[in-house]
Amino acid sequence: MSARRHACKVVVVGTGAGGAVAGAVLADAGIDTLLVEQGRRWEAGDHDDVIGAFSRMYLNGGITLTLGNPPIPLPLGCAVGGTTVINSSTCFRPSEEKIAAWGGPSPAELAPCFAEVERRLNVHPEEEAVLGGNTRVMRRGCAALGVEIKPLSHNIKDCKGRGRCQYGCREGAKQSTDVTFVPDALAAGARLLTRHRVLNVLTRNGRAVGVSGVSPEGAFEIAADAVVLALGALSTPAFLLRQGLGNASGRVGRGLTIHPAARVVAEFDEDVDGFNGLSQAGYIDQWADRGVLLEGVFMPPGLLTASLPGTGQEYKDLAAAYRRLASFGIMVADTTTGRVLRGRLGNPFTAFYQLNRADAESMRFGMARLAEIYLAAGAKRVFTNVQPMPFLRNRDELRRFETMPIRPSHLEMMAFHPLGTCAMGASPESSVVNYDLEAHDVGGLHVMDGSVVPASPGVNPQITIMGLAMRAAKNLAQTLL
Amino acid sequence: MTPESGGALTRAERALSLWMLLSAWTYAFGAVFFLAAGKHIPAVINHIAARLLPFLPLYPLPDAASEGAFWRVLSVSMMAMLAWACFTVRADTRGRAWLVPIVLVSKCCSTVCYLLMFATLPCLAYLVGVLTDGPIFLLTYALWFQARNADRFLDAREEAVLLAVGNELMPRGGAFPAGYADFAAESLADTRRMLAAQNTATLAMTRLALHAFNAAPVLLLFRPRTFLAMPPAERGPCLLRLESHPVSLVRSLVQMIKLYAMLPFFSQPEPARAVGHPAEDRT
Repeated sequence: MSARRHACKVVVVGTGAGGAVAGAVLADAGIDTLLVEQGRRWEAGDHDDVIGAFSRMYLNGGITLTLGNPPIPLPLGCAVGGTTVINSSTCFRPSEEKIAAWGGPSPAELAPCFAEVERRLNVHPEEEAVLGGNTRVMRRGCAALGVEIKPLSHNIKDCKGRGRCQYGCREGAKQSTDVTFVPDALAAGARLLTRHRVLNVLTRNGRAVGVSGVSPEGAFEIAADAVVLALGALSTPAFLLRQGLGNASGRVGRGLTIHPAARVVAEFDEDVDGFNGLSQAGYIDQWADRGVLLEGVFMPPGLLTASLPGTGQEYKDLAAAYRRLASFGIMVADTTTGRVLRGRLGNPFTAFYQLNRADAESMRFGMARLAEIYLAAGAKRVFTNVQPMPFLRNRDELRRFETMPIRPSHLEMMAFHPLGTCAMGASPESSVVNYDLEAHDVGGLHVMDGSVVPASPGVNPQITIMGLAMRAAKNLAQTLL
Repeated sequence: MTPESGGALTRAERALSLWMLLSAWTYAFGAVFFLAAGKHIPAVINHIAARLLPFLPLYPLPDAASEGAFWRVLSVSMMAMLAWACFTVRADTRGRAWLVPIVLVSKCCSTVCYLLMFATLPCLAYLVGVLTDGPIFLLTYALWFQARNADRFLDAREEAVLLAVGNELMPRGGAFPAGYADFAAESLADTRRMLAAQNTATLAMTRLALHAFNAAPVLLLFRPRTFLAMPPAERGPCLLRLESHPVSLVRSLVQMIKLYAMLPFFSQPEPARAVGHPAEDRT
């Protein structure tokens, strides 16, 4: 059976933070652009319950992880909009110091791109009404200790505070790329193919000239003058490694950072009702210089209670106290780097990441600060899930927690921000793409996703990825016109 | 050749079928090789060990040629039986997959015996046995496991493990009346909904994890019974010990199984409302 054929000027593979922005910029410049997405397109009214969200919009039903001791779950989106559909909608610009350290475009050069992205996504600090009880109790503890807690900025319009950012916004309030940049691209003339899985980049004379893959209708081929890969920092390197493309530097798949994260849950005597309001509302950056950012996080009962220790009636009592639970997260700007290899056994990638002791210490430091704040706010128990002290009841236990020996394997972690596996740089020897995000050794092949960010920014990276993609797509448009 | 039982093979069954073909020829070749040159194998391994790993003791060769011949006959007969079993499974993978445990028992037994012998005398010959038969056992088991009931998400035993964990975490009565047992059917249906989006390898890992969890009390806590076989009163303390186990992989396993039990349970409207969370509509 022959493959169905398409042709365009630029094919963009992936519609998440990088791909959607690139597609919109290119289409707006009048370039014939074709967006290709493996997942489906969902409307706000389609969004299901939490289990439905995992099975429909998360890659592999939400079961993706890095291998190491401990293994770290790293859920990713698989739908039009990519991970922006299931992220917590938190927006930060990277610090100027971090941008300067990357050695590429200057902070001043990127600032207009960040501003344009933020304008389109309606990024703003959220109003008091949707900050919720989870932020209220944290604020009380912070006030007692003289710590500043600030409202996070989100890409949301008219938030109703349903706490469903990570499971698809039923109100259509979240401004993920499926409701912003993808429609912009389509309005400007781009085309979109959903449920199309790209398997190969087609090359001729060392230059990318299109892609091929499979869809429910069969094989397809797309001829293009340029190819933009935006599959994310785990799938893009695995894809390139499988094809042996763009890896003259030997750096493809190396340098993986993930912002390892953990959650601290506190039990209060009063109702907190953390599920009312944004799931991620406030943050504390007082210890950002130590690589530790604290961000609010709250979840539905099935997810929150599954992470709590215990069994039997005691465990049931704790689950029944759901309304009296509060929860906050720790995110570490990791110094650890991992590695992505090509996928095996039907998995799109294989990722290895062994947290180092310095980052484990940072994680413990963040947990201790949260426990201190929660205890100051009047918490009865604070659950760290760290063995051998899974919960703390007072300052004495907190002191013991801070001084006990700790290894990475003691921690229960998650991660949400894979970055750095096709790092940008000036030198073809030490980086995969140049600062215009074009592969050093394959002409016409561009990477515009989190994999180009060369070092952990220490903040939620969607604005970083979008800003870099916008700048690169504008430069690409100029070369093609 | 016997016709295949019922319809086209699934991907997992095709993988098992191919592995059985490779295995059959390997065992057949092994039978002939053992018969013709088997007596030289220990000596060759000893020769390699003396050259490359001189710090290892050498495998004690049989005193008399007749003794070696006696055991060689048995090993040839075993290889011939394995080759026959694999060829038979290859001919009708779905209908005769029940023959695969013959290979599994053989390879598991040889791996464990070689391991025990290596513990008493760490010579290269035993290590070669472990490193050859161990991976063959694991790969055969994984492919057989994946092919078995490939059209189902969980088999009865796997669902029983989830049910036992669910009942332990959410017993009836106490803080609110409903227990896992009251919503077992609905919760298991939702667990299947969670598993439906997993790729074949992840689903196989999930199912293996449930079996590993069931066996963990025996393998890790040295209890006489599996999780399912132990009286309900013993399950709670056992779950607690596994949950705080020093090996992070064991803790991750328990976390995962708790998630597969609790997320579906609290996705039911009544339990969700019982803890004060608004029940979610489904589309």
